[in-house]
Amino acid sequence: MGLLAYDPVRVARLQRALDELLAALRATRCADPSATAAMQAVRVLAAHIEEQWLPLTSRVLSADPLTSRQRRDAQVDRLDQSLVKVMADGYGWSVLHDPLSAASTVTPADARALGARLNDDSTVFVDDPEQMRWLARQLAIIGNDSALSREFLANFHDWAELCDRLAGHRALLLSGEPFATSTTVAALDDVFAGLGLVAGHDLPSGACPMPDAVLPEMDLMHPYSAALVVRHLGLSGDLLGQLSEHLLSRWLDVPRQHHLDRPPTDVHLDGPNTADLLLPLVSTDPVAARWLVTAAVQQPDLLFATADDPELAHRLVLSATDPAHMSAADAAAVIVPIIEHFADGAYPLGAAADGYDGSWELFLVDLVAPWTLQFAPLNREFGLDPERQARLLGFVIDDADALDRLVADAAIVEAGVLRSLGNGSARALDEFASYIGLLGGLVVRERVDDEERAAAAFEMVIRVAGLATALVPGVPIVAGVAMGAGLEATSAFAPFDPVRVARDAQYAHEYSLTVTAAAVATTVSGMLSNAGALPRGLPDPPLPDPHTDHPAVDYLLSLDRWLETLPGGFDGTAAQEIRLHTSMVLNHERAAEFLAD
Amino acid sequence: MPPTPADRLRLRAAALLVLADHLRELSARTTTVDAGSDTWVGPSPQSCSDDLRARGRGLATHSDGLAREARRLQRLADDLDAQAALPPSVR
Repeated sequence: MGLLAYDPVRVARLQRALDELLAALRATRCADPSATAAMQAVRVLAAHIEEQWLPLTSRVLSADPLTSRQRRDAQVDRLDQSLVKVMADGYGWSVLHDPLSAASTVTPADARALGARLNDDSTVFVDDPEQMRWLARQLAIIGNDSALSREFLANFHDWAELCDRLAGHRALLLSGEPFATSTTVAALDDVFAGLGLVAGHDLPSGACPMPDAVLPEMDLMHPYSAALVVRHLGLSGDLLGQLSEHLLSRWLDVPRQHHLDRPPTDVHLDGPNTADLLLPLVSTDPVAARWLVTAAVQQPDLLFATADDPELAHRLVLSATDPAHMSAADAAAVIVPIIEHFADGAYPLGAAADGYDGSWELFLVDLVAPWTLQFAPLNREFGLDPERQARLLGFVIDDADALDRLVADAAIVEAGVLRSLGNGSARALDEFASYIGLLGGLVVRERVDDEERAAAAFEMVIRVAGLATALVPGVPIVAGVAMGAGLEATSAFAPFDPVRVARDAQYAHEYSLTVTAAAVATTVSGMLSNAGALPRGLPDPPLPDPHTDHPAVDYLLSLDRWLETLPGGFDGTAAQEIRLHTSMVLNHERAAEFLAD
Repeated sequence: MPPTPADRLRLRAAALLVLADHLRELSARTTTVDAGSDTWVGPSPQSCSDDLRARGRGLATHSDGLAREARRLQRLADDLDAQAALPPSVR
């Protein structure tokens, strides 16, 4: 066995540098078709660091260095170990058996022989840690060389037999069932990583290859076994999404009865399963995530009746439907069927069932949080009729816990609104007013008894209401938001009564719309002042009074009194401009109809 | 006003240039990470160092290719704009 000498401080530094580099590689994104090859190179480098070099530094740092006697036994004095001896004796470096490589070279004959040998009997070596380590090392060397990989692939055929045997051991080890073996999950994963590296040299270039063209005998092996190799193939984009859909679809059809003539697999045992292996991989690739989530629209069980950890499916769907990756129309095509899937009660109900999910209600809140504006009565971006929109949102936000989650997602809600305002999809103050009415309605409908929680929810509505300033005609979006924020409109001048908000639905609706109108009036007057249409030094427009029974009526009266003080009086150009915009918020017919409901 | 084909090409070119710069930086970080004989020696360390250097250089090559592609898309966008500016009779 070869020897390795190292400076522990420097290896720790190398490990930190590799960690940081891996994070930077993982954060690299570009969906442009011209960048496909470059992104593939980024992913392969990230996979090498994550699967080979970081584990190597961990093993070196966690191992006990060889004692002087052990070094002698390991023949550190041999001429071919001269460098190791010099660094250890001369610089005080530690020494280990090299954990990955006994021999630094594998010949084509070695690769061919190993492939042929693995066809014979794949069960003999699984329980021998030394042989497993050796196999992982050989496969890693072969997998890093395309010529050696071709030699191996030309001679190895029994992929299903080998992978199912190894995967069966892995599933048993993770199941908690009594199982006598000397091997470990890490040792098995090292071998799967090597097999993936080797198979990755023979990937087809077509857009929709047959699964067996990607991995030999893929459809003969259990989906779990295939997933253990697939995650090391360096796949990305549509192909990764397509294969994941294929394997999860097959997984749903695997007979739950274990036939003793085949190794057990994940469906027969507790513990992480095929989906738990694939979903984290797909989540990091927006194109693959989009593919799989779109497929799940037709077959929701692909995502919601598979993973042992339901959070993985949540993260995947939330990543795919992030407004950064999807248009509103595409998001509607995913979000609406998912909500209806849960509304229909078609999800696994038993805690022992695969994919059982005790947290789907809160997941649905996270799902709609970036898209709340699209549920506004006057918004048609989701292409639904208002009644269906209201029914779907009413199903998602149907109790105080759901409302609390929406409040916790307030930053996502605001970002979603701002994004829609920025891309021009929300075009009018009346539409926005109907949205604020909707949010206000959600807050009061749940009749939150806890004053603090009611106040937090209503504060979110008021903060979002301040974004209305971005819709004032003639004010660029960014400037509008800045002016609205500059007012601190909103929470500063809106000292609403939390008890009343929790008890009085009409008051809460009316007050939130009044705050919206006040933010708009202040923004328009500031805009006119900046343009020289109003003299500087005028008193500010009035603020809503939270203590009256009809805040909108009283606000309009005090606004009218303020407008009379402007140059030109109540009928002057500036007053008309301000009145027009506030009226769009407070007096729009359909917004009023919604409020009446 | 919806973006024109030329606008879309320029947006793509800009995205490719951002990625090219990023890959150039990642390449520098990968090839200079201290994975060589100042840190450790042996067959595996050698393999690690060789792999990082080779793949880091590969990222630099991709960076150059992306920058070239971005320039090509920009030229194409300019050509489209120039063509659109011509009177209909000479297009």
